[in-house]
Amino acid sequence: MNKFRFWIGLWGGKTFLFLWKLFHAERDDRPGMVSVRICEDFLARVAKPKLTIVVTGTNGKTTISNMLAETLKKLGYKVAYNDWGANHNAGQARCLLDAVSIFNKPIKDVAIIEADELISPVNVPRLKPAYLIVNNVSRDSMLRNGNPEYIADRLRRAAEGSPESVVVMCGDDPVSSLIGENNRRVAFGAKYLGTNPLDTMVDDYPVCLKCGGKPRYTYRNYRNIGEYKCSKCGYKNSERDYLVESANDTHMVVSEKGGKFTYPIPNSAIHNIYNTAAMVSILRDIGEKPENIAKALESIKPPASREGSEVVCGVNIHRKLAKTHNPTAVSTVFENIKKDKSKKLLLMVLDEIFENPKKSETVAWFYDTDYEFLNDESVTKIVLGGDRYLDHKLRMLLAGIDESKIICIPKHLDVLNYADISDVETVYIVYDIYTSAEAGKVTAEITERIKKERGETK
Amino acid sequence: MKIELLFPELSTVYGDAGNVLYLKKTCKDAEFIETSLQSKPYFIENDVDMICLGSMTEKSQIFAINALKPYVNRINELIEDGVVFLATGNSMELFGEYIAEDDIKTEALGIFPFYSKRSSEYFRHNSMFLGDFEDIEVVGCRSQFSYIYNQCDYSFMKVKGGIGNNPDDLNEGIHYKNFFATYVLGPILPLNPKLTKHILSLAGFEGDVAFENEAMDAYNLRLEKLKQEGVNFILGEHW
Repeated sequence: MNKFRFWIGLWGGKTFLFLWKLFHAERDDRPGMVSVRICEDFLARVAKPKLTIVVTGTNGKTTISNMLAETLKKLGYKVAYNDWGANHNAGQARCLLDAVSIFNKPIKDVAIIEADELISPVNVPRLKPAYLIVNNVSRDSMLRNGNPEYIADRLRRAAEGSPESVVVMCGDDPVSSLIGENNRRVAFGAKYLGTNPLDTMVDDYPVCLKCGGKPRYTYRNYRNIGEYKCSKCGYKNSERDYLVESANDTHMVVSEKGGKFTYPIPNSAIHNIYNTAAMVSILRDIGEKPENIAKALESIKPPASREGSEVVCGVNIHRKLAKTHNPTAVSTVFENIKKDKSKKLLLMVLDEIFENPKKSETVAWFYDTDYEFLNDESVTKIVLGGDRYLDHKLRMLLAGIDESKIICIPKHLDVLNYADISDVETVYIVYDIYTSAEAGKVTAEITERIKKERGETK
Repeated sequence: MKIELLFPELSTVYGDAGNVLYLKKTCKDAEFIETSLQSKPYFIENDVDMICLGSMTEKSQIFAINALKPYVNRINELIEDGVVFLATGNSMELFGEYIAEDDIKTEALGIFPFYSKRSSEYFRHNSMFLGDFEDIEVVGCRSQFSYIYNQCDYSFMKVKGGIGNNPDDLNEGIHYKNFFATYVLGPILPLNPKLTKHILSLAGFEGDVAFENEAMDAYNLRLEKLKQEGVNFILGEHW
């Protein structure tokens, strides 16, 4: 019966995929949904290309999946993947529908499957990938992901359920260090790259996970990512097989057993250096030559971001996506704002809009987030619009921000009424995934105002 | 006034670092003693007015239990003497008899006769909270893997919205003398200026809490929203 359901699921999914492609709507999970609805264990039964790679971890999943797929294509592989971050059952099935024939024979060389961390203990054992990439594990939404150790434990279970998979992991990330201890592991990392990270309010690795001892860092590249050793039991970084020795705006030098090699990087942002190191590790492990990898990486860019920057009449306008409920993401945005020393105005459109006024939302994540980074003399004004405006205001005051700099109001677009652009060098528009439309309107209006007030020719 | 923060490096999940932040901003003249997991608690040989600890990871719960176990008698003595304790989130579970994960039990401090239980599948409960402590309405949220059972007669709050110690209990938390323990997150102190004032008064603090007007504005708005008819308190349970 299960076999029968599988074939119906495969053919049903393939049929939908054909129709979706016919109407140029292939970037859609629904064909995969058909397959998993008909056959619950479709992911286990469907054939996989020999080189199946699952990409998981808190941050960078979609970026790595997309960049790795593009790189492998340039290296001559036929690759199945989805580029829209679909990382649950339907999205994974959709990816594999593309990788097999109607006779369930692989027709692609590689499948790259992005996997949500929570679902990984169930799906990774079904997928049994050749490689499991765990880029990092960090604090995310409390409501969904609990705490980082919980997520690391789910990924540990995922790796245990697929013992043949090679785990490609960030050797600089202590929280994910216990993942795949019984698998073959390939670790990547980086020497100190001069990132000068600020101290954060909360620490994802306060004590050694083995003994409770205090970890000592030789260096950190960001947050708790760096070189560490437990002062009590001596537990330390995994031996890093691929270690970024140095990086500039365009290239990084990676050392490995066979020597040192230079690879292009999309930009010098630290997370992109780690993302690229993960890709290099896997490509080297499958036997690709450094010179071929470097050539393929030359034209690879991260997926188009929902963020953006432009200069309008001499004023920098930055749109920054801050995924609310994710303290790591929001703190990183705030840290970058603090490090920019230009005189700046912050316009924040953060809270979700609830059509149903009876629904509520937690604010606990405010207190895992470094609002303290906004307490900087370069910040001239913070105008925040959103349902939880009074909670934001209290949090900003507790962060030591001068009350005269804070305007918090309930309506997103009302931030425009308080946006004084005179005398600022930079405007940051900080927004959430759910407020991107409002952020777009704010950006457009601010751009127009700057042009009007400062003149097109400046 | 001396406030001992037990394991502040561990008590930083689910926003509970905000309680410490609020205490520090409110009790500006107080001496804060930060006791790390590797240090001997200050309360063993010294008098303190208040002891706080907050939400932590499940592994950290075990580290914390092991660190405090040798001092159970002293903790009991302090509780009986009326020292203010505030344990938020799953740090409340440390004070029960044991923490069970399916059938595996981890012995806890055994100070109060309750136990906590979670599934090894780690189902996560999320909800909003509205409850009464004496004449104070308390607001906040819940986000947890486990529940406590057999909580005895020491209820902290009566539930008006959301759940109590477990989904079948309308009592929330532990209150005995000046010992307060609650699953309620928020963080509970900055979200509840009235409650903060009350608890701190038991420790000898007099005066306004930090940014009292702004905190009250936020508290009143939240209270108003949570009291609307048909509020969806339960946000879900899942993994």
